Amino acid sequence: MRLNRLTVAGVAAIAALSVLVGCTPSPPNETGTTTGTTNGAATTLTAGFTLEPATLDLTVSDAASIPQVLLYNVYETLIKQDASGAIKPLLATDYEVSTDGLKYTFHLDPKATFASGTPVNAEAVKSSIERMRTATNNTIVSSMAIISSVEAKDTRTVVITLSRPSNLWVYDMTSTAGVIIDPAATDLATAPMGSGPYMYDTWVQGDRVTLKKNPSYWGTPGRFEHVVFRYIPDPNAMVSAMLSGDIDLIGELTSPDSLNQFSDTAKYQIIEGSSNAEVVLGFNHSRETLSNLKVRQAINYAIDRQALVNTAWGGKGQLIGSMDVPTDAYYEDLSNTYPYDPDKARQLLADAGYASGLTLALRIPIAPYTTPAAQFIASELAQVGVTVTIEELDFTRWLTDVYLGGNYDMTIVSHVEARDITRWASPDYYWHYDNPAFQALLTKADQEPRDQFITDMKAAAKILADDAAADFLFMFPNLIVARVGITGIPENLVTLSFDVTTIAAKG
Amino acid sequence: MTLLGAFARRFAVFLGTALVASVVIFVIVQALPGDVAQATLGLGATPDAVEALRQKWGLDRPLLVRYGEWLLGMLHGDFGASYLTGQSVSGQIAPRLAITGWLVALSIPLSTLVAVPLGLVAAMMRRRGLGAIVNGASHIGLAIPVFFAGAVLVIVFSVILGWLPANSYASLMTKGFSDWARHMVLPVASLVIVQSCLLVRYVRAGFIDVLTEDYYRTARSVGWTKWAGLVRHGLRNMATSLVTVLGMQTASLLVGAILVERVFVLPGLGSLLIDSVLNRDLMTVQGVGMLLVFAVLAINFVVDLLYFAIDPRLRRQVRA
Repeated sequence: MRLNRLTVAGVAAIAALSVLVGCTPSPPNETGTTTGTTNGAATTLTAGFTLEPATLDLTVSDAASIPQVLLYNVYETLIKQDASGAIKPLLATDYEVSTDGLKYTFHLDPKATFASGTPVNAEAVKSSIERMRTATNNTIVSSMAIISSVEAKDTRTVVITLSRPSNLWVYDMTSTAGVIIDPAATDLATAPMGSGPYMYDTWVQGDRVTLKKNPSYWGTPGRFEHVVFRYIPDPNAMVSAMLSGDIDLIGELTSPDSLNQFSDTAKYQIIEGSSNAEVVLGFNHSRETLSNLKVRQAINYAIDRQALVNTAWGGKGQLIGSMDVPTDAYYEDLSNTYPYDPDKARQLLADAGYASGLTLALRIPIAPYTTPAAQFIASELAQVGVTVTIEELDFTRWLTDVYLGGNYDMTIVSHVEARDITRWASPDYYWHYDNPAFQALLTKADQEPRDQFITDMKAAAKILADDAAADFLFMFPNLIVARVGITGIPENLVTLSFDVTTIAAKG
Repeated sequence: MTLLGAFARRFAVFLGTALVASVVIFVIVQALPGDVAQATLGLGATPDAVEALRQKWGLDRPLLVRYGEWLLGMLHGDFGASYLTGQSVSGQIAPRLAITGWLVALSIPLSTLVAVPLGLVAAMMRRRGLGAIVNGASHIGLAIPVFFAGAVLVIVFSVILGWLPANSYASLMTKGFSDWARHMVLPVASLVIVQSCLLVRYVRAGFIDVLTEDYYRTARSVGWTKWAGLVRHGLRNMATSLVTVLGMQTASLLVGAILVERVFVLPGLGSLLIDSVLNRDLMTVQGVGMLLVFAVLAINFVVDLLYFAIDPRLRRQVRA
């Protein structure tokens, strides 16, 4: 075999070209017809999210990514909270509360059926609530713990008796804890069954959960044949998918810096609303340094929270000052309790006996918002003589070491659950905040008539702020980017659901 | 020692290594701080709730019992089930392996096809312009991380030109060839770009070695031209070192493809491994770990076989 130079060079050139040819698309005019896009008929809605659920069983796992897909879309609740926080009927047309506040009588909508065809009757509701009371997910179990009995009075009437009156429980019934699961569902982890306008279709793990239209939905049907929740952990890949038209919307933007790439209002709309997530710089109250009110207040004074939001989250996110968010009926803006004042912080530290400075361990779970926030806080606190050592842990290690192990001074976590101000009432919770006055007030508020409830909940939030129980950094914004033509996206997240039931698409 | 004996010995080593690896994997995985019960309960976890879930999933039983159970299961081809969803580990791995498998199966041969001719040119013309260009380009290529190459390809071909989807996967079985291919082009291209640059280095060095060998000088002196002599007498010698590198590349790509998988949001083996580690779904982590061990051992075995196929001197040694 003899080859001349030309042949070899030719082979090499062809090989090199093959790389380039490999990059050339086959049919160049197929723009926009890739899987999941909705140009034309708009029968599929494709939404991008960051975190994929590890299981779809919300009775087991606490992960916010499960109700994000399933709540209201697949599973419905007896009652629902609208965007302003008011309670509206869903599976129940209405409900009455006995004068002692203990008996709740729910009247079920006679039309309501599960996607399987089974009617949503009192027996089904009862069995679902029993399922929740004995669930593994402790967040659900603790909100359902005050139920003393559930009775199916007739096919359409359910009577729930509580062991004590509770204003907050009603809200819990509008959310994850209150979902009514089809009694026929046996494998909730991979085959959830509910009564919503969409049904669970498929789950390609590592990639997407697909919902399909419930053809026999008892209420206003969904607008899409399919709704795809695509999971894209990499923020750049998320932005590329949006820019190339692979997805119709980014359901939770975790890179606010990328917003300027969607500035073309002819193509994109940016929705910024509120959420239930408070980003909390938590203090370990069982540490001697942080059990000192002056030290906690000093830290609050030392951090310029608006500057932190600007640095860590592109200026998006509202200052709140306590554990409540604007959609809470009892919200009050307490963000001015500790205006930025490093001199005052230094003074307070000196008064507390730390004139020569102190060192605190800031141990954070890895998340897009924690690292920039921690670095900003460390530099702010350095200005007032507090040395901060930052350590990043994966979430499960954080749970073991910090959350359950109590091995930390300060940490940063976004608390996404609604009405989680109640967490501050349990001294065992990882902050170890033990304030009997706060606990008593919260218990009292929960059982009072509504007006008094609102007043006392406000007072409770004020206690946390005055006590500098934590540094309540900001409310995590609900940031959504959608292509123009997508309508009906709920602006505010009042639950963990990404509610697609009202979403429609033009073009 | 017969050829058969040599293979039998290799196979025994294979089994022994797998057993040792299973112990190592199990111990390391158990040593991870935190467990699946805590990860699942999240911010609602209390010590009591965690303990109850541990009992429910049998995580409270002694290590040795759980290891024994796992090992016994594997001997029957059962890799266990995910604690979280109850899905079988092999059932979880199969679709992921298919995707990573395609990435490896396409990018390794393609990068070899690119690298061998380019490496040959780079070696033969190393003191001239073209060789220097190839050499320089491969140096630059080596410095490009694969996720960067991927991101650039996405920006050019998906965002700006809109020719190809930016990411995600389309299954060959359910979506058909054209959709599948459109989703595979960019990830495979980014792997090929980076991999072939590395291979060019090895091929070039391999050919340069051949150029200084006595047998090549002899071949030249009996009338073989420079290029033909190198291809005829050099390729085979260079091939042994190339096969070694390819083996290592293939093994490392099985997990290393995670970078490409993240950029292109492909639900491959690497992302399964990372997600399971984060969720502490240890049965799945162990399963993927063992699969990778088997794969690496199998690749080494194949590489050994290829040595025999390539190099007649080895075959003679064994027979003698």
